[in-house]
Amino acid sequence: MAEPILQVNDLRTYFSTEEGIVKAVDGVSFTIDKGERFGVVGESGCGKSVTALSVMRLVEKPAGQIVTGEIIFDGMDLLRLTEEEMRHIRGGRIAMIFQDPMTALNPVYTIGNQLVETIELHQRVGKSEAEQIAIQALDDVHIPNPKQRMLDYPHQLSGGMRQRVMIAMGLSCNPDLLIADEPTTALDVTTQAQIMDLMLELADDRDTAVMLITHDLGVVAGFCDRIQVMYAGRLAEYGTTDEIFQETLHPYTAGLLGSMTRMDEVKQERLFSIKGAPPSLITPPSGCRFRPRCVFAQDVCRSDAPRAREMSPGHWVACHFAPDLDLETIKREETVA
Amino acid sequence: MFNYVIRRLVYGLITVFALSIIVFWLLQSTGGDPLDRLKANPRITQETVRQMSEFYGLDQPVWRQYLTWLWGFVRLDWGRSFTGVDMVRDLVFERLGGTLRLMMTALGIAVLVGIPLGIYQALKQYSFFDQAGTFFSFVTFSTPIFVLGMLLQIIFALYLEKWTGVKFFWTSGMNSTNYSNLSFFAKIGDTLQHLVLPALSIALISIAGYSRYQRAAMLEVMHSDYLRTARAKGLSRRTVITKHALRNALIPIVTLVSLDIAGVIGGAVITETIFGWPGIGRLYIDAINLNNWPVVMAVVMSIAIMVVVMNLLADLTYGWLDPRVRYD
Amino acid sequence: MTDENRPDIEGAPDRGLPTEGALLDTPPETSLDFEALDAAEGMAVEPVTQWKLFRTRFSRHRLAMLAAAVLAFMVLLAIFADFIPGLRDPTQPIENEAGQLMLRMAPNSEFWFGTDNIGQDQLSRVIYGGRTSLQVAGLTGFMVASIGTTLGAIAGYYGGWIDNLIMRFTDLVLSLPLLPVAIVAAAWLRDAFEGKEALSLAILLGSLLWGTLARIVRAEFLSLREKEFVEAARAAGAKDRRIIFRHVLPNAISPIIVNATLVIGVAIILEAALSFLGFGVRPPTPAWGQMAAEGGRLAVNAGAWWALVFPSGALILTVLSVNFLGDGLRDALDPTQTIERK
Repeated sequence: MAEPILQVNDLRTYFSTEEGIVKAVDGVSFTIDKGERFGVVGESGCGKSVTALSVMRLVEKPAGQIVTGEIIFDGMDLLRLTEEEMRHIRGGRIAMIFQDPMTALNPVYTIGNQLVETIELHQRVGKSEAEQIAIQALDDVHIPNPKQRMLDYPHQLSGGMRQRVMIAMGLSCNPDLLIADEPTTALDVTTQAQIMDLMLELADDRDTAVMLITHDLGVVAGFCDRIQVMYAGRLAEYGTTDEIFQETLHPYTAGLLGSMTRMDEVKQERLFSIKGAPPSLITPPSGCRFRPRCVFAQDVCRSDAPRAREMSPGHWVACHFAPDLDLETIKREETVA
Repeated sequence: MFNYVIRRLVYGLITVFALSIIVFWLLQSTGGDPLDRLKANPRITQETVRQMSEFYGLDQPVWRQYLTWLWGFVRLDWGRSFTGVDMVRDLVFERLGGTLRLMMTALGIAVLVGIPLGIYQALKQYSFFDQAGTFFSFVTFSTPIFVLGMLLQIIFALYLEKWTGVKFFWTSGMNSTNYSNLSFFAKIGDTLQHLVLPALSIALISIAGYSRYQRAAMLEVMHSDYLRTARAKGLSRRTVITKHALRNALIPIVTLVSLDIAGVIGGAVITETIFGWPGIGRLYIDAINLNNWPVVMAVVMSIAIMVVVMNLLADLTYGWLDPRVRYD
Repeated sequence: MTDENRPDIEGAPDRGLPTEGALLDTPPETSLDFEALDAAEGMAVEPVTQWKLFRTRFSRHRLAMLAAAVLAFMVLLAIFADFIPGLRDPTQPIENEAGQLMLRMAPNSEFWFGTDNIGQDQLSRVIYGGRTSLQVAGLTGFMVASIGTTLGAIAGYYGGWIDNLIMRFTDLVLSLPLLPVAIVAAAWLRDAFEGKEALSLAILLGSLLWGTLARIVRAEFLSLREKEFVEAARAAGAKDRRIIFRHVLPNAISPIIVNATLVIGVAIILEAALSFLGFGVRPPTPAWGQMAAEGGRLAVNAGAWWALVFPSGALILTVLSVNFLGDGLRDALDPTQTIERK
């Protein structure tokens, strides 16, 4: 099972804008194993979505460029493939679903049309067979009356149904990896849970690896085997779910955990949040990027950017002072001076 | 769907009706009496004037005149022109064809040229073509149509003829006087020679507007989420553009064309004056200047009804294109 | 389904230029220097006032700046025409020493723009014509802004049957074919208001062109009405009028300014068209449209190209400047991002 399907090495993706170069992803590395459920967590703007888009090579040109790095998928470096070869991969071997199902489906075509389109492209089958596969896919995501739904337009479906359609579309060609970029953020809480359960079920059935991108630690806790926490375009911490949650090493992770509201805790006076705001990616702070918001910051944090170190097998952190920091108080949401 | 059409027609009717009242009132309020010229003529007696007055119903109170007119109008009895013996209806129908020919040609050119132009500009954003196109649009759009028309006339008819000795385009009338004697192909050529310049005057301005609009619409579609999904599915760039992008990008322009129809009509009115085109535009202006209000009313009504019908067609086209908007 | 429910592509009036996109977009430039600044370390942007933001963005549009300068120049010319040294009376035919009328003279050192069919100095006619045209256009713009904003605000803010009523009325006005109706109305005005042509024309145009602005303002108010600051103001006990004027309107001001500017361009063209057809400002008062009409005939029949070129050129230049300015304003006041950052 420890067979890597995707290996990203030192990925850097920059955008040139009027105000300067935005270093959206600045040296990110991780590995996803076959069938693994991998979570990428962080605030808005931390670069998690750009990472995913980089894997798919869907970064918007000409402003965005993958400056350096390797993306090894099934033995191939995706960054070295031609566009045509990449198109085979997209949708066929790596599929991606997006955040807002309302706008992610083309409003002027039926969902049947959009499903069949992918299937015909990647599975080399005729129209009627593709339709059968599509209906089956809709059934797999538990959409009632799939045959009728094929003729519906996206606006005729609810948000949750639309996201199911997106998942069906993504999984219809049996990809090795499914990238889900904030799939539940635009949905209400109940639907969120349903969708996550669905994805769990399907991923397990087909042994598809899933890269789940989200800012919601709650979602990640119930779904992922391993988690990568990103901050300002860089890795903060990386490890199994248990390690991240129980043996937290990075102050930022601790802050994230602390700011989660939990049902099982005593009521606090105030909601904890990490002080400060996410940094500019054009002129990021020198040294450790989290430094301006970190209560443990020292001079070395300003001068040296911490490199990711493996604290225990498979558990990496980018902080000068791990594992010596006492993060429990933060995680327990007690006010820290 | 049927209900929708009915509802729209009713709204249209109300508009046309309101318009008729406004215009009628305006025409009546003008001091000028349509029989002014007759009155000024010393050989016409008072008695004759009075008789004519009665004949045309001019001695009735305004609201009476309006109702009489309205009743006649809906029965297609549009009365008699004040400036001759022609029946208004005959006059209008005779000229309507000319204007329609001009309008349809202009709209056709504008749509077939303007829309692809805008799309191409969007695809090649920032290129020289794009920038030049935008500049051209702005300049054309800022040029009054009569200036455009006169310029075209002068450059392509007069000067071109002066330099080459060949008459490429005619500048007045729909067809030459020897039209009926021409062969079939010569007839087509002659028609085109007369049609091109006036139609172009109208079309150029619409092209400027359409291309700008279409460019913006296309750009918006290019940055849409569903296009990103399409790419993520591994579709080729061509499929993404022609299948996913285009269909969406062409929807908004229908609205603009629909709104532009009234503008094209206005353009036709002016162009007909410049190019001596036999259409209802010229008829209209002449009639206004002579206070020939039955003709004016008839033309205004015709125009208004045309606009209502065309707008309805445009709306239905929109509904056909955009499944989110199926009328119930 | 009525027009309001249609997906709103803002800015599609009968002669308005459409939606987003800068006039002449330039692709984003890269900047190489990204050393972290000590003081502003890690902080994204320092707070700037709206005005400052607007100024920065606007000054990027050199064309718009140029257009603004050109317009300012024209307005000044129009206002101070009487004080320009050496400018002749635009309605007075010129005679030379021999008592002959200087008819149809080509541009020369004495008459920069030549003379027309009656011997009047074209240069002064163009300048004074500008005064007429700009007066009409400016007044129209003001009227349109007033009527459109008022009706749109009331409709958008109160909603319900008021909204319905006002919108039906707006739809009615918007569905009138512009030029034919304007012609009839202008004909009536021409007889009824002999002499006060500019003012009456402005009122006429203002009454016809407010529709699109009303729709835009209504849309703005509809969305702004739901925002929290309105609820907060209401909770604090503010009266409706106060809320509308002090809270909502300032946020809606940018589309109003942009649209009003574009409408001015439309008004200039419309007035010129009416004058061309003989329904606008009448001789001897100079107006560009009417001069262009006369000039066209002269150009064709007597080769007097200057009679057409200068008035038309003035028209085109003015409207072009107005449109560039409007486009620049739109971009500076309502920036739309075309590059997504994740």
